[in-house]
Amino acid sequence: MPLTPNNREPASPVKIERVVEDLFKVPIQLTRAPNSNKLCDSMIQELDQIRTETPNGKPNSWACDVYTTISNNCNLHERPAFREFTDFLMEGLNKFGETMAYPLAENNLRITQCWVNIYQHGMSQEIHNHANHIMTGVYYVKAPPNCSKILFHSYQADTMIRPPLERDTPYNNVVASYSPQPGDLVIFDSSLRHSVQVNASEGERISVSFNATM
Amino acid sequence: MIDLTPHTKYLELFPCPVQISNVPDHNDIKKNLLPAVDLIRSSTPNSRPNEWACSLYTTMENNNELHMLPEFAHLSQIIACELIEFAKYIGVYLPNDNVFIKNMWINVFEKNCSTDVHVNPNSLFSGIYILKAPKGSAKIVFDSPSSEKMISVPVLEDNQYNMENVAYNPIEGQLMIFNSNFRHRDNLHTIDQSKITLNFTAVI
Repeated sequence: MPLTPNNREPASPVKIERVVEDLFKVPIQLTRAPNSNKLCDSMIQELDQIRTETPNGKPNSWACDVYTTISNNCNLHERPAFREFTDFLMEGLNKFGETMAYPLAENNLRITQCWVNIYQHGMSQEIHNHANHIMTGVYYVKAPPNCSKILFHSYQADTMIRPPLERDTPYNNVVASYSPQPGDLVIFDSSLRHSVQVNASEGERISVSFNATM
Repeated sequence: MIDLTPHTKYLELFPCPVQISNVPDHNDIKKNLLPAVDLIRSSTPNSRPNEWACSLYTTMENNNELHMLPEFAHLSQIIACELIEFAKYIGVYLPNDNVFIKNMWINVFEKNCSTDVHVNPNSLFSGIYILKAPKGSAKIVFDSPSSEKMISVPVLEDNQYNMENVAYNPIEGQLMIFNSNFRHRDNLHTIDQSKITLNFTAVI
């Protein structure tokens, strides 16, 4: 029986066994700092100091109006007051590197940039990734309820043909979100494009971001 | 050093699905279709596009509606049903309750044939039915959507998170279905006996 558009719901002439294999899953590592309250509290005072002494380093190319030190104070990991925090980041980076089977023993895994982003109500961050790095991460110092989610964009998000969907599944999502909590450490491949939704909360959302290489 | 394991979990995002179906009556299908393929091959010149670096015999450009031929009706019906299973599994809405084979063509891999990495434009789903695959036939390879990133870190061993490609040994009677934007290719065919696949694209 030739198939034509008039043949609806063809019945299989034989019983078929099938499997669906999931290839190339993109890992996002989520870690809750074991002492998150203490760690966040200790960081807030230092971040207030940084904010007082450092003007907004927002690049002109950013559409959003977030306060950031990405271009003028991005060595926060070297501050003595952040030593415990930096140790925690390195633990997280090493864990992600192990998960990815990177040769950590023979290479010098290191943080090269670390900066703070502060989102007031209504602020967001456009889609971007972090060139010239291997791992990128975000630690959430303040994340009030209903503050912005971080969004991750599939490597295939730009595909120009997409079918209509009956339901969302992991196979048809091109964007995935995560709602951060204070004390969350999120680490992912630097090439993965990500963005931050508009902060719908009245409270500040404060995150410290970092890049690492080997 | 703190062991972060108890405090850590992983999101696994954006998997690329490949449905592998085992067609039970593949021996009968092979017996019926090999003569049909030979006949088509004797009457249809190779339509390999000039831009292909690889060499193989294909009817992709000049005889690509094999699903409309009576000899291919049984296999086409199986493929259509498996396409529906795939579409439903990944959550696609089927406005006509059906998935339609758009094109179906023959690829014949003689020794030293391969295919370049490619996608199948203007379709939603693609698939390969392995009609003939002697032991040692060229593998079918899928490339990670992230494999074009310009920093590639060497790894100690391959795992589900760091692999940049996955290769399948072709097995006669296997039907592989995947999204048409998923880049794939065939490795070099290095044995004397030919590998024959029936390839197709589909829309809703």
